[in-house]
Amino acid sequence: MKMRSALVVAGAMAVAPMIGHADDFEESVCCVSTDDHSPCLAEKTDVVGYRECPGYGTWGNNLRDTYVFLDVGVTMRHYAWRGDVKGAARSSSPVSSTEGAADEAFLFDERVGFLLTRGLYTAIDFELGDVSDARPTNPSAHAIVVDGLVSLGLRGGLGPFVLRGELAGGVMAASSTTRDLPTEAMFEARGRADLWLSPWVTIGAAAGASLIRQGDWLAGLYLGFHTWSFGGDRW
Amino acid sequence: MRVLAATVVLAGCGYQSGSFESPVRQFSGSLVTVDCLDIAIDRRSDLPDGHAVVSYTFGNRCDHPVLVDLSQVAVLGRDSEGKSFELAAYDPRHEIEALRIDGRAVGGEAIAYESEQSPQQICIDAGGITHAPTVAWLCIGSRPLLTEVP
Repeated sequence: MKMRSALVVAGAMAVAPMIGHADDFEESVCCVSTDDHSPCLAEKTDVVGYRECPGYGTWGNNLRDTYVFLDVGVTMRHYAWRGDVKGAARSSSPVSSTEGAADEAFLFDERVGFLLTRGLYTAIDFELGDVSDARPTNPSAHAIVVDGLVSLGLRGGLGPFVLRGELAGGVMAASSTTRDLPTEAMFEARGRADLWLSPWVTIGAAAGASLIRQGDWLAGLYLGFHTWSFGGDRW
Repeated sequence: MRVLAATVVLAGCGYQSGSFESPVRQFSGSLVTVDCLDIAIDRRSDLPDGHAVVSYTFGNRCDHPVLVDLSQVAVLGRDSEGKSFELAAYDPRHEIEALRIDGRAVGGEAIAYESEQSPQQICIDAGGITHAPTVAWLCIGSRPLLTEVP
């Protein structure tokens, strides 16, 4: 149920960024100067030289700008449990619990990224969700988790797929009525595989593991929206 | 699931090569393919100031960006006696420039052409739009005709 509702929300959020390709949306953005994004007023003619707005060549605007992508989806995070964390939270040391329990979090994930050079990209991740408390004494407790990460990665096209590998670092904070979970650092390695559904839309899956906390891992599904067709991989 | 499907559809399928169809652009007039570009060229009604108007609609058949240069296209007018004369694009703000259109994307422009006499027929070298080495003259009169320019 969590996964289904997360997908629905992710889909709704994803309608917003229908950005940039050709002149599909040129009627709603504009103007004569590419730096001027004031709204266009309806004009009597669309003939160049007679119309003020939009300017010539809006169909080429997306290629004037840097390639940007937006991924929207859901991520499941698995936190290896580290015993009673009250006051101490999870430590950065390896798992010390002997109970074998773990916390599971389902998070909405939104990330925006852009190319630094061909094949090298950076992205900013924001995740928000719910984590279940696996302590045996309180199995029904929940906490809200929010985290933000910056990632740096390499990407390459492979037929209809895009493969990506990245390192991400950031911080996570959690809030619970029953448990004190202070902010803690995150550093993880992730792999991603995206399939092109259309020239500007991908569906993808991600998997990764923490590099500083043994036993923590993540898996995710997402839709990706791209300002350049095929992410510029087929130039 | 329906939301997901609708999202994908709304976000746009790419232009299908040779289709001359797009949900956001109507490909009207004479159709021609030059390299990666499917082009529709149509003549509209002349403007009140006498300028002839030609609409260009184009779809990129390829997955990579291609050049679209409407500034260097050779455009000729013909009078009722068949005499040819050059037409110049009306571009008071010097907007018309060579740009790239993204892979599988569509676009279009309507450009006015000025001349001392009103052309009965307008002939356009569509090959010039992509800087193709071959010429592809397209002549549009009262009804679109494909002809060779002498």
